[in-house]
Amino acid sequence: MHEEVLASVMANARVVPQLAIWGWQIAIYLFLGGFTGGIMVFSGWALITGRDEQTPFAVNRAPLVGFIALSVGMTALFSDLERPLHVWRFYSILHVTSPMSWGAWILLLVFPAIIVLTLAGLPLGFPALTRWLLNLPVVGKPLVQPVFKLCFFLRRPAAALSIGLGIALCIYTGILLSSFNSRPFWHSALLGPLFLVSGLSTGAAMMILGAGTAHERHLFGRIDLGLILAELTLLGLLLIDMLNGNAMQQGAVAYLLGGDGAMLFWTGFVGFGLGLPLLLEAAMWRRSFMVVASFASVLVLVGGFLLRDIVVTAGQQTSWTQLHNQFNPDLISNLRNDGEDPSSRF
Amino acid sequence: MAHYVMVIDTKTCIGCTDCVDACRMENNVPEGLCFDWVVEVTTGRYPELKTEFRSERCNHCSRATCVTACPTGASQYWNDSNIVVVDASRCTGCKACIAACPYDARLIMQPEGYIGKCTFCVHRVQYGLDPACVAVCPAKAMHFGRLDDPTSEVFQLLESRESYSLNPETGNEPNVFYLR
Ligand code: SF4
Ligand code: SF4
Repeated sequence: MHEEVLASVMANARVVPQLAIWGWQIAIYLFLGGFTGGIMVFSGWALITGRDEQTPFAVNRAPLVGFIALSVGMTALFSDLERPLHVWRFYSILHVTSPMSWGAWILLLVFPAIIVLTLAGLPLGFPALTRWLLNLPVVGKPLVQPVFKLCFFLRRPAAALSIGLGIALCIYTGILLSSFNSRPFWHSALLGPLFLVSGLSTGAAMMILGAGTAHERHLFGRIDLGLILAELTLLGLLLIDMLNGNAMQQGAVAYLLGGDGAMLFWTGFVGFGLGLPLLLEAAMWRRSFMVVASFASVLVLVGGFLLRDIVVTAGQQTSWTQLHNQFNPDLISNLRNDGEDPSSRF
Repeated sequence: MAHYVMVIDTKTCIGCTDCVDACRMENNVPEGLCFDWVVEVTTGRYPELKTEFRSERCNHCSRATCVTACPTGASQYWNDSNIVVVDASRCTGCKACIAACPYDARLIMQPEGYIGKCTFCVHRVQYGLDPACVAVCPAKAMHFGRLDDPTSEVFQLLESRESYSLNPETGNEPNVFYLR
């Protein structure tokens, strides 16, 4: 036998659960980052290939959705920082070995690109909003109008850039996690491609939800079908990778396949997030129905979030330190209430 | 490069956790948490059981993943040595380093929000003193010094006795050694 028991306290999430490193805020950020990346790729593609007529939502309206989603995602990320006032420190350096540093800089490039696409699409996509902006007192005519013109002028280069940046944004969220050798479940290079495909899939789902024409809905339905298939393949590969990995990886994957995380993984993500939309999209291969397609898209979006949430949680289930713990954090409050002043003990 | 190591004798350690308390007092550790901790390891088969105590902390890895993962450079090597410290003024509290540490040696300082961890007591080491935990150990089980100096106590101990470090297969090259 070999047993390691903790004789004192340890600052470890499996000892003190409140110390979990990353929670739902990061899952939200990873999801919305991938979602925005997907939108950028498809909007950029639609713009470059001149599909203004066939896919009006992707060209004119989707960038605004992406911009809002990314802003919400960044807010979630910001709220997870323990020292939010120091956020500018991310931009004092590019630390080449740190994927998070790369991500911070990618985000800085993503925003201008998506803002150009948003403003370029606004006049046709949201005429009322555009009129309101143009009629703003003072800034309306002299400032807003030239900005709109400039963005419209720049939209093709911005679209080309968006495709590259969108892919970078999607894939970076996976690479960020997979760079941690210390968290066995994250330590697989498949996480990058998996998050990329999932991001593209959620982006396509948004195009279906907002589709301006039947053609657009049908087109992105077919695209999403292919992406869901690719996602299932990558997920299968990841599971194979983990099941054949070291003990810590096997432990983490057991948590998903049969442990506490199994319900969410099998029913939530695999069943409702991938399987059902796959069937629905396949059934609509020849003809797309709005209600069914929208339902499938909502499922894809929920699945996209569940994937991030599941991966973030599973990665924190096992690590190199495997100790039996005798410390009960709940007892600290008893200590506080014993009438003794803890700082006067020494 | 100054190569600081800690050598802990599991044969003399009695598991009193004095090192944990000394560290708390020295470093203002948030209540209920700690920068170092003691593990009781039992091996063998009843009735032939063996117990050893291990005082664990940040391993001040020669190839520290926390340093490579930090986006701002707040986690860094102190003065061209292997001692890993956090520059609180540059830390954003993004927790990438907590995720990157295979030994779970890092925590969030409450309520300030920057990352805290064992510093090998650099504030003492730079004046030639031992870290607080080493200085206070009643069993004299802990030794601290430079491995790049062949005359040092730690060098001699590692030369003459069998030792191991924790999970060297992480590739981090940990620098806390345990004498068997
Ligand atoms: S033990 Fe963890 S915190 Fe300490 S240097 Fe190594 S990786 Fe960094
Ligand atoms: S929490 Fe602070 S020290 Fe850790 S990686 Fe983020 S900025 Fe660096």
